[in-house]
Amino acid sequence: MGGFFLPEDCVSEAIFNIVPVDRSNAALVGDVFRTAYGDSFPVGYVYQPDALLQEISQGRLAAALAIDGENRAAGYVSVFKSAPNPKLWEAGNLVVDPAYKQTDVSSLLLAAYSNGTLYNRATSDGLWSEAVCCHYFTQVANIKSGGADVAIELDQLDGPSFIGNRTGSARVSCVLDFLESNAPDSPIYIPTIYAPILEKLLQPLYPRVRLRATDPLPAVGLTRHEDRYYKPVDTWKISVHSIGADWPDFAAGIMTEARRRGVISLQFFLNMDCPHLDAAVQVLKTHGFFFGGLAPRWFGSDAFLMQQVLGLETEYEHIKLYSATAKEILAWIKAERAAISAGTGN
Amino acid sequence: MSTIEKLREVILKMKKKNITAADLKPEARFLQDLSFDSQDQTEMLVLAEEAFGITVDFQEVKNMTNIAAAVEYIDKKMGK
Repeated sequence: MGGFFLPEDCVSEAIFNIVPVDRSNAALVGDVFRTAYGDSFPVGYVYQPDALLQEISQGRLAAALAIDGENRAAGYVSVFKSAPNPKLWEAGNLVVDPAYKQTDVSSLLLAAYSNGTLYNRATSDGLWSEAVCCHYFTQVANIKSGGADVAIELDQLDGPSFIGNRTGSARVSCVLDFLESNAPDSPIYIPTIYAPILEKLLQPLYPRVRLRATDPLPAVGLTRHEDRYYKPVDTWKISVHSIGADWPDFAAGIMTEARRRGVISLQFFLNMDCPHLDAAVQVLKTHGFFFGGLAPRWFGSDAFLMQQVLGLETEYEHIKLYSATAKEILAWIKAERAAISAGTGN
Repeated sequence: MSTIEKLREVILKMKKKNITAADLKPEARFLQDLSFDSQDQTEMLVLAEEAFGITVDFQEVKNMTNIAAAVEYIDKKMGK
């Protein structure tokens, strides 16, 4: 990927055109990924033009290519749908052909996230992305593009699987960054013990009506959820739409299953349209879960992240954070984990 | 400590293999001589922000090619 400093003989940015991926150029996408990843990039559709075009036509993907003056693809950028909220886009899978490393094509591709090239902000709730914490590049780009850091997903990725393996650690954490497009139309419930940090994380977003989440667990009903399990990296993300009377059993069942699968990063995204969050948090804390941050508009309404790391020690010294907010989130996480270890975390 | 001495400390703190203080001459070019990639460039700027108490405008440093230019930029930001 190109960077901020351009060599004296840098190819001018004027020769690159950022164009939407369509039938005429979809085959070039696989070519770009092969230059950087061979055939091993984990998102299969980038190598399959028909599958790629189907994702686009069904509204789950918007993508663009950087085309140089000789009609070659120099890079690729995309947004896609991965959260429960269908009006939320995730930014990701930006790649640059290493032959164009000493150009500013990556800056042009990054700009596509914020300049309306890829998606219509007016019809979306927002754009989120995950920036790895083994370097600063993406974190800086996100902040400079107007995003706000809102959460840290601890030890989410497998370090040695990174190309070039410059991570220096067994696992890689990610900063969740968010750019909001419009104001939410319903109130959110704030879990009491996380109110101080959540209020700070909400500051850069549109105003919300905040209520206290002090109701006890519901007496009836079942917990409703969806999940994504990323076996290659041993990460399991569970999005909890609503909490039912079965919440303690549900959480215990997830823990049992996570251990059986060998999950390392276990994450709960809890819907903040729920007044039972104080009680729900207490249940999770008995299993060792700790705070991760805010996931704005995750369900349409916001979510907050509770997580735990199973079977290994977090190598905090390898976590590189750019923003003051991200550093504050990590400080909170460390303090809460220390309190849990000391038996004073509840 | 001069700006270039402090900048050298910043770059050495990055623990980039094969770079020694002797390599960090004013004329040393980031891409060609020090083999910096985008991650290295960004890390140097982030650490420089902390070390010098400045805020880097990443558009302004786009054409910064060598150590001397970085020192000049930092001095300007510090009002020197």
